[in-house]
Amino acid sequence: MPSEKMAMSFILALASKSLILFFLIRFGIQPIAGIQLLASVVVLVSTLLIPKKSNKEIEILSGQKTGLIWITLLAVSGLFVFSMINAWFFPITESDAIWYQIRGMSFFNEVRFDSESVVPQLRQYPPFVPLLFAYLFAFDVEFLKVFFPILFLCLNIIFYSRLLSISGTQKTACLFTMVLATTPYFWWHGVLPFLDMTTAVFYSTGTLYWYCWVKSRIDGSSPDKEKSYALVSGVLFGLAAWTRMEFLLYDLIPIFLTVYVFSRYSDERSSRDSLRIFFISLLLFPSIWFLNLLTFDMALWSQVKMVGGVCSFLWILAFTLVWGGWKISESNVRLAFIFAVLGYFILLFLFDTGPMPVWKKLVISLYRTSVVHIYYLFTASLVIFIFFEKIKSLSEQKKILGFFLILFLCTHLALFSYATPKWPTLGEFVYATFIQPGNSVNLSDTRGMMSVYPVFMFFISLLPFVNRRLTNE
Amino acid sequence: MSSRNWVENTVWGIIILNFIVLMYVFLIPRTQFMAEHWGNKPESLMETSGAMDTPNQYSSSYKMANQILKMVSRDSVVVMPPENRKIKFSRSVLIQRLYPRKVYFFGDLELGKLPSLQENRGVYVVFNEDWGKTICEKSPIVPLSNKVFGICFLKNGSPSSLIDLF
Repeated sequence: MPSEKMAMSFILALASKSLILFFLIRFGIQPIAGIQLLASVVVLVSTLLIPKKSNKEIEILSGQKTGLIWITLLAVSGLFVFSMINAWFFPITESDAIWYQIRGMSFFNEVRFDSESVVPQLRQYPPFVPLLFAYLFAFDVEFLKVFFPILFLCLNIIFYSRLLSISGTQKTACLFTMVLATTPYFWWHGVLPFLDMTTAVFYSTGTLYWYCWVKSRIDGSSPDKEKSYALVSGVLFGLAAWTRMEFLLYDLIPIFLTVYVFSRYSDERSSRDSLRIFFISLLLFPSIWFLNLLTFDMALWSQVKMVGGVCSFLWILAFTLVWGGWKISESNVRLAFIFAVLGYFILLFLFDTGPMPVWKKLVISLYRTSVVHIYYLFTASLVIFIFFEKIKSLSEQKKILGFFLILFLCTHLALFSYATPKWPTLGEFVYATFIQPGNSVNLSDTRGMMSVYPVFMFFISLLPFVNRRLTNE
Repeated sequence: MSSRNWVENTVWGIIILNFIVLMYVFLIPRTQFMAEHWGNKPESLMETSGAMDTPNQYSSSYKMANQILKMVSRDSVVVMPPENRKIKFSRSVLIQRLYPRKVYFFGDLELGKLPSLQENRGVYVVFNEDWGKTICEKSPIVPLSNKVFGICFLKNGSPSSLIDLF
């Protein structure tokens, strides 16, 4: 769809912009407006060299123009316009965002990534959002929040387009896009200059394209199609880690499931080209940042070292799988999963050095993983439809997507049982959830869940039970 | 429309309920806030209590930072008192507003690093009841808006000369 292409172009333009800025700063060149304009012209001219394909495209308003599509357009565009007004009106005063602005200013003015103006921990965070701010500083633009409402819009467009493409039903696509757009937590983050809307857009849209790749592989579509999906999903997953480092750990979920799918549906037809493209595009962005961190004249935070280790492990895995000719069998994948779970618990108990016992961290994390959904309000209640579905009769690809959701929750639980909880007792968390929700609505674990909600809505909308009822079949 | 079933009704119900919450928690309060502060510059918006969904925790720090900003030139050095339980300010807000001016916080002053800044800069000291009064006793002082802090201009000189002061 042209609208989907435009949304993806915007995302990829931001990605290439951030990469250009990163290398300019890395090589000590101040990214002033003139240099940036020149770089943009070079990138735009080079896109002309990409061969054109004559695909049959469906416009967002093509086919039956029901009243529903107009209601959806009105709702999404109204919310987008209002979020733009908010982004323009409110200056940055939110705690974390202030530091991202300072980082952006130091990138632009000091032409370095490790300015003393920034607290040491934040210096090690991936640079995507501060790089975007640096881009605006070069043009003397103070309207820094502009990117976030546009990302909110892109998420809705891509969600709608993918859903329409997979379900083929405009009604389903419209209704679920409206659920996404009106979920208050999403709209709210569309005007907050944090990292969460950005990672949610990258990770969830990455998952939608990854699902299309898995579906193509299972259905036996053309290798070119597979490669395209592998590239786009890999880049988006990589961008999520280029924005928030821990998303490289969430990226382990699609990587694991991809290896699983390749173990079940391996053929010589497309060899492993798409797998190679997927790994390279996913690991490119985070690897650049980890290499950059090695040049910092400071002690790296232990969590950063751990995620850096995961990045190295993924390169080894990629080399072994794609270039080493390692035959993946289904039993090997299952075995690897069991070892990963065991390994996690061993690490958790080995590094049990904090004041809080491991079991307590696990209980708190389990509690948080279960209750943060109340902040997604009525959208979370879509889960009821699962109980009306015959799960066993779902198609292979839908089962894999469902498993993706379960693994995301497990990874979320695992990550937050490793991190030190904000409050020392479960009672304080319960208090912060129900009595003073303002204290916990914006905790990192609540915000992290944003990245899976569009995938959850997508999954529910694809359930045959839901589709049958919506289309009155 | 007549053939709507419970699944479709549920989805519509979710959309409508979400929208109601969105209106009452975000859209209406934010619109009211914008209407009340329409035409205000970003500096004065930073000093307000903020919208209902994102209360501004740092309005007093912004007031202080904006006041300092009006007094000090771009190449100045500002030395802040150590933070303590009684008197709090946001260090991120001060750095954000005063950038590219150098802001040093006394508690974590790395004096060894100061000589790397060789050029002459205006040195300002922000003081409070507990700290910095003696440093400023020979200089004209300006009370800051919150009355807890004051600021004085010490001299033009290399920041390394701060070592002698503390």
